[in-house]
Amino acid sequence: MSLDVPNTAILPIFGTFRDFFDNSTLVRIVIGTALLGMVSGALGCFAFLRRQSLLGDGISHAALPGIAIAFLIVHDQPLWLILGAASAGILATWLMQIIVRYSSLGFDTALAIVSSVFFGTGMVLLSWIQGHVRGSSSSGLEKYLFGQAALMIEKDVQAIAITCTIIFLILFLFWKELKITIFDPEFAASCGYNVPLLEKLILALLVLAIVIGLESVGVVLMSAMVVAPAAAARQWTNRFGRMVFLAAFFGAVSATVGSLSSDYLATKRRSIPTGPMIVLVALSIVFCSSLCWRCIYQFKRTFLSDRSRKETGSILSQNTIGK
Amino acid sequence: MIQINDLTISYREQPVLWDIDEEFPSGKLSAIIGPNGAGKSTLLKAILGLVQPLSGQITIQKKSVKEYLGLIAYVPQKGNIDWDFPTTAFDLVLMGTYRSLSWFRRPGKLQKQKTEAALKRVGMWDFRDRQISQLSGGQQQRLFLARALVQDAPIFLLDEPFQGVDIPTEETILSLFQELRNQGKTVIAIHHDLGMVQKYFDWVLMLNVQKIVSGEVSKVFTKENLEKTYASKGDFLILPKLQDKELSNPISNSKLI
Repeated sequence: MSLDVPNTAILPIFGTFRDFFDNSTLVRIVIGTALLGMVSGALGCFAFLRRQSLLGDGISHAALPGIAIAFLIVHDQPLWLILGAASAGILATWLMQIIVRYSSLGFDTALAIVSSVFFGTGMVLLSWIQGHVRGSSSSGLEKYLFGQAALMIEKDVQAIAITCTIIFLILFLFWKELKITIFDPEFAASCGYNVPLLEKLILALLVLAIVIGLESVGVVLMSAMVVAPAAAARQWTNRFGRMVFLAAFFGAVSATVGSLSSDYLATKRRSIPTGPMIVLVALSIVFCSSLCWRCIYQFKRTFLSDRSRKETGSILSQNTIGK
Repeated sequence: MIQINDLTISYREQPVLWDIDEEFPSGKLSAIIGPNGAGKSTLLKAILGLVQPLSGQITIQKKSVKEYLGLIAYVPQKGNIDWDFPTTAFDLVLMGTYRSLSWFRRPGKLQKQKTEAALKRVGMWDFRDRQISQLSGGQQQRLFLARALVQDAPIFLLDEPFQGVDIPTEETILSLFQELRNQGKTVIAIHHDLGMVQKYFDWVLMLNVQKIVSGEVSKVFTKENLEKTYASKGDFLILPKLQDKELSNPISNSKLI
């Protein structure tokens, strides 16, 4: 991978269209980050709506030792590193469930314990690898901490594209089953759906969405990519489908803008990892969404209150008794 | 029709239901009554296969849980879902049709027509585009009923459908019960208002971990049986005047909560 490091400047983001397509590295980064922003945004809605936003944090932190161990075995193979991260993430969620079931500790405590223990182990392994494994210091394992989208190579983008296709295909095919499972699991079970299996499927998709983003965003800040787009999207709509769509869009925008501006700053000799930039963009979308929505709400209250009050009043009177 | 044999369920070491034998009649309105912690909700969940019994079996028309689930429409308690979920009243009711669709298929015109009819039946059509948290408790309960209606099931299981609802909703539910009974459907509801049980229901099961008694309301709804059901828990409350035929208002002050 070290061969492909594009330390050659990736240039002014505000350059012309032609510059953009001439620069294949830039195209690669834009496509890669947009795709991973889309999946983590879309899947983030599921975690967000089940009030398990922090689960994303736990999974991403827990992925670090998986990456380190995979690196020890196969060295720098993106797909294997992703697999290692995913297995560590799944192992962590499984451990959390075990702790919740067999002790008197709550989910939040289990999450805190498991994710910090995994992250700590990961850090120890990482520094050990850098001291003992030849060629590891140049392979840039530390990019998994805060993310470095500029280091994305063709293979990474391929891996991301394949995972994205699989995730969106599953979302599309099992849409109504997944929706009813997160909205009302008890009712879903009473309809004969296999709820535990569907819940595992949602978790597996979430883990996948998180681990493919780790290289660009990093384990430390990945949870923001899961939560922020969903939180922003929730402000704009009261429909589940639209929310997932919007979150995917916000995720793509923040990932792309964030990684491009990090790149741009790199050309100005200010090295800032991609993760923090992406997170800043994502959170400003959340902030603007809340602000806009608040303004609209206030506006409606002040100017439309008379009319809307009359309307609801008439609906209420028509509707007091079922026909 | 719904047959329960030797059903025992426990959470950890504590038995919640102990050796229940029961057969609910089909085409009737049945009520399940009993004090808090008597295992009423657990019984419904056991019928739905949501909790695993320690022993015993439940069959409907001689079918086991997996096979009979399609026959049941379930109305859960209102508190069990996240009302802030981004979904509208229409969408919530539409979810009742999902079961009739195979994997991968989306609800189409037929499902939407059914949803419309059900929403109109419970008087919620004008609220179809509201986000579900912007509805009153009674309206939310009516949505659950509509969702059960679109399932086209022969059996309805309801977990405290009258809990915290307003009078119009109560009237809607009661008229719906009559209608369902006239269509030959079986309705089983957990209930708290004893006056209403006496007035509107055909069959009653009195439950307090063990089965106290069950049978036609006119036969088993006696003071002794009620005392047995409620007294053993120690929270014996004022019972309604059972002989009072003048109960004009269904929600009299005879609530046992």
